[in-house]
Amino acid sequence: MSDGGNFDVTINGVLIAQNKAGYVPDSTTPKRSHMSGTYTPTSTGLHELKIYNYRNAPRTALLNYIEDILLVPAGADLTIDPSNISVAAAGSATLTLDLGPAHAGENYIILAGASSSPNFMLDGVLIHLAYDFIFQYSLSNKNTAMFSNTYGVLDASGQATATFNTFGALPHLMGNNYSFCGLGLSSGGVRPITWASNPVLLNMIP
Amino acid sequence: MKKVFVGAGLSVLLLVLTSSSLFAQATASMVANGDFEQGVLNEWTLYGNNNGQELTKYQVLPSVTTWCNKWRPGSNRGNGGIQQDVYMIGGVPYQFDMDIAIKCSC
Repeated sequence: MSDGGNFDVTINGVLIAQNKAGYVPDSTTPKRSHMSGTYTPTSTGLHELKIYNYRNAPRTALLNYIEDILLVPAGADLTIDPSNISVAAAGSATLTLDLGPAHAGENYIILAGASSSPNFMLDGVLIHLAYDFIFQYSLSNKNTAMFSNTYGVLDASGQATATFNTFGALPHLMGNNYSFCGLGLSSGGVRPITWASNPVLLNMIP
Repeated sequence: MKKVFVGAGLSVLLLVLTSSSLFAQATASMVANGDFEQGVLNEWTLYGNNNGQELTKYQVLPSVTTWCNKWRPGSNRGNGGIQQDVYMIGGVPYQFDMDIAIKCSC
């Protein structure tokens, strides 16, 4: 590639995003940019994501920075920020449901699982959580200090914000990944499920 | 989001979950350590020529300093990258987003 190549992003060898902005002459402050793309895998499983930085030999002072990388199901209803919590100290992650005004006033619950696999189908609803101890724990401890505001009513915009808190160092959880998923619950005593969100992943890191 | 029609209550759901009606499905995942905010390259694997690559804190905006994966593609550097395997569901569209910054006093 000629002067100007910075990053190519591929999944399974398919180019999904490219930046060819090249260098910024006399730049004393960085030129920030955003790359985006979509990809629909044909099969389920592990897929190879690669971010490639091209050589730009003449520009010896050129610096390319990657700030943040995100890959989520398109049109995701549930997001998490940050997606990593250090096991070395107390930490928290914000879970945001955003289903739009059409869902204002609906009941929701956000549950967790030690894994998102195997997940399960219930009467046509694919719930991206394993039914395990963490699932049961998050259900039993909804709206507690650890799982704050994980059960409630969507606001006028169809949104809700919940928080997962660790409250201290948890070194034994190093390397674990936890999944979260939001469910819609109808009003009334039996609270039938009305929708299921995409899953999000929380990584426990050093 | 999947609109559904379910006649079971949440308490009933938990009973059903223990029944044989469950079956394993595929799962989804996101990029791990996509923000480098712990200052380590965990979950990523370097490939190609990664000479000059490092993790560093960088002021991308006057008021924003963040961990970044820095590359220096000049001279004999560059032509390398980072990679990781992500679990994805077949037939489901995924959105990729990446913030970058470029600087050169050249």
